[in-house]
Amino acid sequence: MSSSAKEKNDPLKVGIVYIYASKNNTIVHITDATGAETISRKSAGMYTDADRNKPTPWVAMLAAKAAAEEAVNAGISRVIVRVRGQGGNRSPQPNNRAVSAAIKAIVRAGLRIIAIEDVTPIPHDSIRKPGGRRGRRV
Amino acid sequence: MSPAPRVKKKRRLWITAYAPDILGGMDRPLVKVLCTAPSDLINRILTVKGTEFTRDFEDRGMNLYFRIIKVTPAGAQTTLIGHEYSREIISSKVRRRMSRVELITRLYTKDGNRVKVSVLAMTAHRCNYTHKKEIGRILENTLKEKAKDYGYEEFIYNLAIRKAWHNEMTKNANKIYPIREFLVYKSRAETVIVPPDEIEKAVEGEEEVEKRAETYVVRR
Repeated sequence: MSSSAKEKNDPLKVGIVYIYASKNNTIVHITDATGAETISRKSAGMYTDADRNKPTPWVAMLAAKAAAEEAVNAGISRVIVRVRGQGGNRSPQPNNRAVSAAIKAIVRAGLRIIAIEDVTPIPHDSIRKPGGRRGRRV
Repeated sequence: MSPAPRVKKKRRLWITAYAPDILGGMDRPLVKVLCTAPSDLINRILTVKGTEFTRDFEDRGMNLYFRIIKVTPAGAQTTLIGHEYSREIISSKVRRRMSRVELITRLYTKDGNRVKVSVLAMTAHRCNYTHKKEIGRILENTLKEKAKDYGYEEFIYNLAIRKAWHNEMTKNANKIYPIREFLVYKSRAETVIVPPDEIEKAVEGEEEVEKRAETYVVRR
């Protein structure tokens, strides 16, 4: 399906894939080039019953595959991938294992990637991280 | 037995957005955009990669922003409202033992629009605060002079895509302190927007637009 989708779909139909990969879940959101119209939105939690599996690469792949197939059916042929982690005063690193699995699934579904960008919100100045001076004591 | 789940159907349109006249006009389609009604498209901002208009490899990290200002049966007309380099490109310029001169300023163009421009200049070595201040002043004056002669679209086109004044600005700044890296990393026309009461006027022949556009039915 992937090669025929590439040939069939219009190269002017460009989408944006937002991958939010936190330590607890992965959300894949595909929009048109303006970012205003949602084409597909899937989260890893939709593909597993166990919460502990939500940030895993396998489930991220399932979510990305489902979202990408929906986008291919809508006619999208090329995408810009925007990856983000939690950001703010928490980790600026996205969950890289989940992100790479999701990107692989997007490519295998037949979408061509134009660019991959990191759009994690990095504060220039932020509020104090909770947990106090000596860190969170558990 | 529970009733069968209702399938919601939503009809959406794919409308082609064309580049502004300065970049090829109706001969240069940019992307196709989704909408439920043509009037939804007005004031939306498109993102296009810089490499589609330039041959500079560094521009792979540049996003060009276009705002949709008019929808006609032929397609959506856009205007160039700014550009931005990605975080990776900017951070690759910043090194140890250099000074970072950053200028963020708002300029008024010939047509009365306000454009926000952000410039980054890295000096060859650490420089004094007075050097930094002077370099910033020189860059700002050069940009102010140029902005007076051009409309906002031409100004952004020359600044972001043609990089027409980069040599002049670095040459002037080099008189104060040697510049190693120079990048106009962000620009945005802040006042270019279709006001809410003029959105209806910005759509011409709505029925014709809907008839000509490619449709896409969503089932959920």
